[in-house]
Amino acid sequence: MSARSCAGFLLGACLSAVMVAAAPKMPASPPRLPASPPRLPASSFAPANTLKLPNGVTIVSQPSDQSQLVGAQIFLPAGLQQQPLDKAGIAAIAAATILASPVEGDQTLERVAENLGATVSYTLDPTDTRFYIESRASDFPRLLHDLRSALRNPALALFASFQAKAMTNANDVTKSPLETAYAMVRRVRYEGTGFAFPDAGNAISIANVTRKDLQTYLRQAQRANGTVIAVAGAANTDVLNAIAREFSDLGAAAETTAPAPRAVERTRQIVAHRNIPSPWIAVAYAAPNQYSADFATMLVIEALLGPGGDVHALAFASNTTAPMEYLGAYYQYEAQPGSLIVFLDGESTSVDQAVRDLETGIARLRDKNLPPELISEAKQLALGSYYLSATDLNQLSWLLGRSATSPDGVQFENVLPQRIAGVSAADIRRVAQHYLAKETVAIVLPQPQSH
Amino acid sequence: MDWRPRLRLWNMRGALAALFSSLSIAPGFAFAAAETPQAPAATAEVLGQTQLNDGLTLVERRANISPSAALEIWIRCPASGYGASRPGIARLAVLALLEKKSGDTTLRELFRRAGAQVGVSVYHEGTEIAVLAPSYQASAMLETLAGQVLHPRVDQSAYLAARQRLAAQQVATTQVPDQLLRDSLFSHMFASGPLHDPTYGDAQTLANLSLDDVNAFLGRAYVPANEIVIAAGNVDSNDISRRVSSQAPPPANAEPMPDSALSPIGVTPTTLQRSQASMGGVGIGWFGPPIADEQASTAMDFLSDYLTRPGTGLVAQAVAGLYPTVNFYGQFITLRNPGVFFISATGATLDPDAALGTIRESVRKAVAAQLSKPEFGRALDAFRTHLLRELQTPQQVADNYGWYFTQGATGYSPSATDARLGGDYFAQVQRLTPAYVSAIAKRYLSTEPAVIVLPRGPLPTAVNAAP
Repeated sequence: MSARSCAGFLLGACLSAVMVAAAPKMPASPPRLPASPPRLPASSFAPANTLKLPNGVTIVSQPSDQSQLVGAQIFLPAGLQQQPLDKAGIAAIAAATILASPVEGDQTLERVAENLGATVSYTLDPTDTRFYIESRASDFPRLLHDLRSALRNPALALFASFQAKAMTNANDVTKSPLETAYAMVRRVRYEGTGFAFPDAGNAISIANVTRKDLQTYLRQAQRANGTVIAVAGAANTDVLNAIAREFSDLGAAAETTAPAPRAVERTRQIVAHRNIPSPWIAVAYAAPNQYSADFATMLVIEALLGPGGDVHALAFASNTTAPMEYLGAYYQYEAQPGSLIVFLDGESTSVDQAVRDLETGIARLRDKNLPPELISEAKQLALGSYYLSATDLNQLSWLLGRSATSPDGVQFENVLPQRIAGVSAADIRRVAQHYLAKETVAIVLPQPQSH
Repeated sequence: MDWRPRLRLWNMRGALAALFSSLSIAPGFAFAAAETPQAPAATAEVLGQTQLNDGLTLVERRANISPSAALEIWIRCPASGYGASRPGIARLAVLALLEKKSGDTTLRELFRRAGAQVGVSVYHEGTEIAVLAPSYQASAMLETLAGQVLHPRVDQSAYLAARQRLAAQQVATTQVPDQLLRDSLFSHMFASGPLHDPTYGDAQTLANLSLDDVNAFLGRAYVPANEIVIAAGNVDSNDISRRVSSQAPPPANAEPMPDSALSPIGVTPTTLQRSQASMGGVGIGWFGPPIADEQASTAMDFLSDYLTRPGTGLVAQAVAGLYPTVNFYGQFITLRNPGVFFISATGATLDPDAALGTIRESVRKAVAAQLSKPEFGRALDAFRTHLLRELQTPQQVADNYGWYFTQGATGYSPSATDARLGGDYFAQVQRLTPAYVSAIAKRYLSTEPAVIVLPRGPLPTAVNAAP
C-alpha cells in the first residue's frame, strides 16, 4: 500500500507545528527587549588549548577553576560509517564490551566509575565512538587508566552475551515507528556505508560478527591519527599529564577511510508497516556536514523548519534510552554527507497533506528571498539553540572535540555564532536550492489489520 | 507543564527554616522529637547573595564555562493560596503572568523568539519562573523578566489564556502515574495546607477562580520579601545588579506561609481507583527531619543517594532486579517541617504489592545495619561527586538557590559553595559519620510509611480517586 492510496484516510499531525515555525511573525516593535539583538561577543566560550602528542593524538582542553569536576570526551576514529557493511552492529558490541571489561580485579570499568560517583559512558557517532568520563579531577587519572586498560584488554569472553543483547536491541528498534522511519531514510541516503544500517545493526549483520572480528575492530579503532581527547572543567596539569601518559603509546595503525555513500539520484518514497495506531513520516534531504561553509546557513534553515532536538537526540548511547517520539526537523550534520530530516506523525492530518505542506514550505525556501524579520528571528533561534546546547561538561567537551577537528581548530566554536549571525536571505535561498531537492520520504503505516 | 527534566537530587529540596511551630500536628500522630542539630546554624552570608532595600533577594553566580545563563525568579507562596484552599491558584497566576501581552507579544513568546527557553514550575510552597538564555542576551532578558514579574498584574486576555493552558495541564497530569502517586501521597501525609493539595488543582476549582482572584493572589504573594532573583552562568554581575535594581518594586508586607497539618499514617495502603488503562505503581513516604535540623537533613540526603540513586542505590537495584524496565524514583524532599522521604516505582508490568514488598524489605535491611567505615567513606565521597555533577549547569545552580529560598534557608543551599567545597551544606556533609547516619535512618525510616498503590489497569481520575 502506498501513501497515495491512503490519502484521505490516514491522519497527519505535526506539520501544523512545523508550518507555524516556518512562518513566524515578529511584532512591529518588540516589547522591552532591544529591537535589534545585542552584538555577539568575539569569544563566546572560555579559552581553549590544543596539544598534539608526537604520535598524532590531539588533546584539547578548556580549563576552569570554578569546579572540581572534569568532563572528557575520548573520540576514537571508529564510528558507524566505518563499520564493515556485513557486520553492522559491531561498533555497539565493541563499546559495550569496553564498559563491561574488568579493570581493577573483578570490577568492571563501569562499576569502578559508579563507586566513585563518576560516570563512564559511550555514544556511537557516524564517524567516531566516543567514551565520556565525568568525575572529580582527582579521580580522573585512575578512570582514564582503567579505560585504557579496558581498551588494551577488552573482555572478549563476554562476546556471546553482548552479541545476544545486540540482537535483542536490534529487534526492539524495529518496533519503534520513529526508529523505523529513521532507518529507512538512512538506508537510502547512506547506502554503501555502515551508517545505512540501524545503530545496533540488524539480525543478519550482528549474526555475522565473530569474536575475531571484534578483536580486530577494537584494535583498528585504537590509532593515534584521528584520536581526539577533549576535556572541559577542572582540566589541571594532573589531568592533562594523565591523558598524555595514557595515549602516548597509541600507534599509527592503518587508517580505515569511511566509504562514501552512493549518491541519491532521485526522489524516493518508501513504505513500511508496523503495529502502531497512526502513521509516522520522515522526509529527508541532503545537507552540508558540520565543517561545510554552508553549515551555519543550514542551521538557520533548521530553525525556520522548527527543530525537534539536537544532533544527538537519536544517537545510540549507553546511558540513554532511544526516544519513542521525535517531531520536527532533525539535522544530522556529523555524518558525511549530512542530512536534514523532518519527522511528522500522522495523527491529525493526511499523510499526503502533511508531505505536501512540508514541500510547500521547502519550495518557499528555495524560490523566494524570505523577509528580513523572519530571517532575523530564525537566526536568533539558531543562536539560542547553539548556546543552550552547551551547558554541561558533557556537551561542552563534545563541542570542544568537534571544534578541534574542524578546519578552524578550536576557534570553530566561537566562529560559528558569527557565521550564523551573518546568514543572509540569499544564502538561505542558495543553500536550499543546492541541498533541499531530491527528497526521500519514508512512511511507516499501521498494519492493515489494525485499521 | 515543565519544559525540562528536573534535577534528581535537589529539585524539591530545601533547607533550613526554623519553623517548627508553623506546623500543627494532628492528634494521634506520634512523630519523633526534633533532632538536636549537631552543626551550627546557617552562616549569615550566602555566596553570591545580596538583599535590596525593599527586601528583594538577589543572587548572582558567575561561571564562564558555558555561554548561557539561567535567569530565575522564585516566589515563596502557597500553591493553594491564602485563606480558604484554592488549589491551582498559584499555577494559574504564574501562567497568566507569562501570557500577559506587551504590544502583541507575550513574555513567553518574546523570549522564545529571542532564542531563550521559558518555563514555570509550581511547587506546594514556591513558584519558579525560569529563563535559559544565551549569555549575550542575559542582562536585557533579566531586566524584562523582572519588569513584568516584580510588578505583577494581569488582564482578562492573559487570564483566559492561562485558564486554557492550565485546563490542558490538568488533563495531561492525570496521565502521569508518578505525579499521581506523589500528589496522592502528599494529600495523605498532610491533612491540610499547601502541602495537602495538588498544585494543578482540579477543573472545579479552576472554574471558580476569577481574574480578581488571580490579581489578588499576585498582590499578596509577589512581594519583594517573598522573592528571589537569581542569575547564574555567564553573566555580568554589575550589569545584572543594576538592571534588577532598576525594576525593584516598593517594599510590602509579606504574609507567612500557611500551616500544613500532618495526618496520622495508617498501616493499610491506600489504593487509587481507576478509569482507563495504564501502568501500575506504588508510592511510599516517610516523614523526615525538618530543614532546621541541617545535619539530619543532610544525612537523609546521603541516605537518599545511597538507597535510591538509579543504577547504584540499594533499593533502586533491588527493584530493578525485579522489574528491569521500571521507572524508579526516590529522594528526600527537604521541607520546613517535616521533610518527606519519597520513593515511587511505576511500570507496565509492575505488580505494586511485589514492588512495595521489595522496597520495604530493602529499606529495612539498610536501616538495620550500620555501614562499615570504609564503605561509608566511599559512599560519602561518591555522594559529594554526585552533588557536584548535579550542580554543574547554570540552571541547576539557580534551581537550588531558589528551592532553598522558598524553604527559608538560602544559606544551606548546596549551590552556595565554591570550588573548594566551602559553604554550609558541604560542611554538614563533612560532619556525617556512619553512626550518625545510622541513627537518623533508624529514627525516620523505621517508622510506618504512608503507602499509595496504583493497581495495573485504568488510571484514576480526579473524581474517582478515593482514599
